[in-house]
Amino acid sequence: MNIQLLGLNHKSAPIEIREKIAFSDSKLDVALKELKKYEGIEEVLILSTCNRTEIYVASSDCSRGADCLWDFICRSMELQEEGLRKYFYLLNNKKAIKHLFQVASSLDSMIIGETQIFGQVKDAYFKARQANSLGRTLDSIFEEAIRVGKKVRTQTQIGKGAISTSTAAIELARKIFETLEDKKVLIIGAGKIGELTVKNLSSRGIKTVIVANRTLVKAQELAQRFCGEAINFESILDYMRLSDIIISSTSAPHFVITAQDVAKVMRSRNSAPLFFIDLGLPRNIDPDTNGLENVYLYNIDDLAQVSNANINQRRNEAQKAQQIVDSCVEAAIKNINLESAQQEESVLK
Amino acid sequence: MAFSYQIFFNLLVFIYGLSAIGYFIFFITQKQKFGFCAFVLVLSGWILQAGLLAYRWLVFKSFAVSNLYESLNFFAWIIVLVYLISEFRQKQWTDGVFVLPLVVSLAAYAATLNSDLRPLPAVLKSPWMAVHVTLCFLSYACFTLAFCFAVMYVWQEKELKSRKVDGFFFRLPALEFLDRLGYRAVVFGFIFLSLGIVSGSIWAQKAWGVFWNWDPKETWSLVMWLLYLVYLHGRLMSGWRGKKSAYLSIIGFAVMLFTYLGVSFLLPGLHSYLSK
Repeated sequence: MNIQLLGLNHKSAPIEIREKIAFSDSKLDVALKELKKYEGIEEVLILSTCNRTEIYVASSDCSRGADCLWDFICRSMELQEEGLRKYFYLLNNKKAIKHLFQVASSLDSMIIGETQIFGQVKDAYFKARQANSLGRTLDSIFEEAIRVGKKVRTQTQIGKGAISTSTAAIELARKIFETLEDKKVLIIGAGKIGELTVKNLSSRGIKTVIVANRTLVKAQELAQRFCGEAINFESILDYMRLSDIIISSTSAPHFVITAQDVAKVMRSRNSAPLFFIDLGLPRNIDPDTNGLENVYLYNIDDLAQVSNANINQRRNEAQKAQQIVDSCVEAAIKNINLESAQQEESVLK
Repeated sequence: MAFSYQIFFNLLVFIYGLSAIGYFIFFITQKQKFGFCAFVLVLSGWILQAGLLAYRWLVFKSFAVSNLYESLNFFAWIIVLVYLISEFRQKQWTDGVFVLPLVVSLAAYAATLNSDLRPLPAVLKSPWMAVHVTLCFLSYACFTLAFCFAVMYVWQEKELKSRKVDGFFFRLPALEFLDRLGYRAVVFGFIFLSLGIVSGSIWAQKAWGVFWNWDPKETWSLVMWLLYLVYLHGRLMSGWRGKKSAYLSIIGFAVMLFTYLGVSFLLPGLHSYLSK
């Protein structure tokens, strides 16, 4: 029995091609059944996410299997094979297994270490099982892939550390504040990135959101979305006294908040820590503010630095993960060989 | 002293040492299992040490903290007790990395000293001794813990202010948490120290007929008490928190160490462990 994989991902194909070759949930069931009808294809599994579409089959003959796969792709997507081939990769046996293990451990993802793909692999496995398109070979290899994915996640730090600006802001907030649940966040400027950061913060438990904007109507709109309060731009300092996290993203050409302002506010709030996130360009908050005691100021570049440090950390961890994958591939191949040897034996008998 | 006792004491130092290494590995790798192993080790070390202390107590029929060896031994035990309570309540193991090396040094230092008992003058034999010594060491232990939290705070604060992220950034707990725990440890330490000084005065009155002798240790305890009073006052009245509190706590720990050991070595008096 051969394990074969025909697929494409964010590295091999642009989005225009990827979006054409995708199996939605409704199409998946039919596709699995159709592909299994091909002679020589014994088992089928389709993994289809926004970054990849991969078809795994167990076939009795390699070249025949490949032909079937191409035929299936072209027919089900109603496309011509010519010109399409360059976007795909066709991998057999050891290479296919290795690829699958890398995918399951998020080594092949656009963002290394992201967690979603692991769930998607599991999902694809369950769907194929439900559709009865799996046999012993793919079943055992996917169970192993899920084990490998888990192992990589527990034995390496591949998924640790925020890697986007807004999650980096949250990570920092959690290094300052013990809990975010009782904290108040003040947003200055009703811009998009500010909103995104608040969204992330509120998903981590922040309950009180105050929005200040030059035009009050916009502030009210944003405030409504987070069940928050809209305030006048002039009363920022009064509300700063009551807030813990301040996110600023106005397009003002000068500093909206000066260090003297903040120093005054700090005195009136008994020096309780304040965390400023300056997402404005040009900067909204006087950089000297960071020199004040119990005040922490991060601008876009600082946040990028945090996320870059995390990305580097993930790259290091990815090497460890690769070693785990490699050793698991060796072990899995031995197992598969054993199984097929046993099968041959029983045939001989 | 019986030969086997020393073996057990060396074993104790070994267990605490292993635990310190366990905490260190936990700190570096951030794997919970190492933290858990270290916790189990320190807990078993503490039980063993309790046994050793009880043994000495039963054999000598008195609550004796008469020489430096016994005092270090008892101090290490109390620190671990306070640490275990704190760890049990907070369910986080990071402070072990800072506390355990201190415990190991105390125990290892004690292991090099003569553990023979020095009989107490009859005038000092009183149940007040146990009360006074225990209260004082409880306060020392709380201040030691507060010191560890303060060091962690200063470290983490520096990381956050510098806006450069390195490996330690993720390993240390949140500033607010460190500040709160450091403060709490100082509050408890202050209460114990106050009670310790009062109980010492009562004992002194019973033994010598005066409440206060201006003995070096008494004077330095007063300095220490005033320093922590300033800490609490600043905190409650002037919003001193974070770095200011942390630095005061570190200074307080230095004064405490001097009160505990420095005074004994440099300024002999009624409290000296070394006076012949």
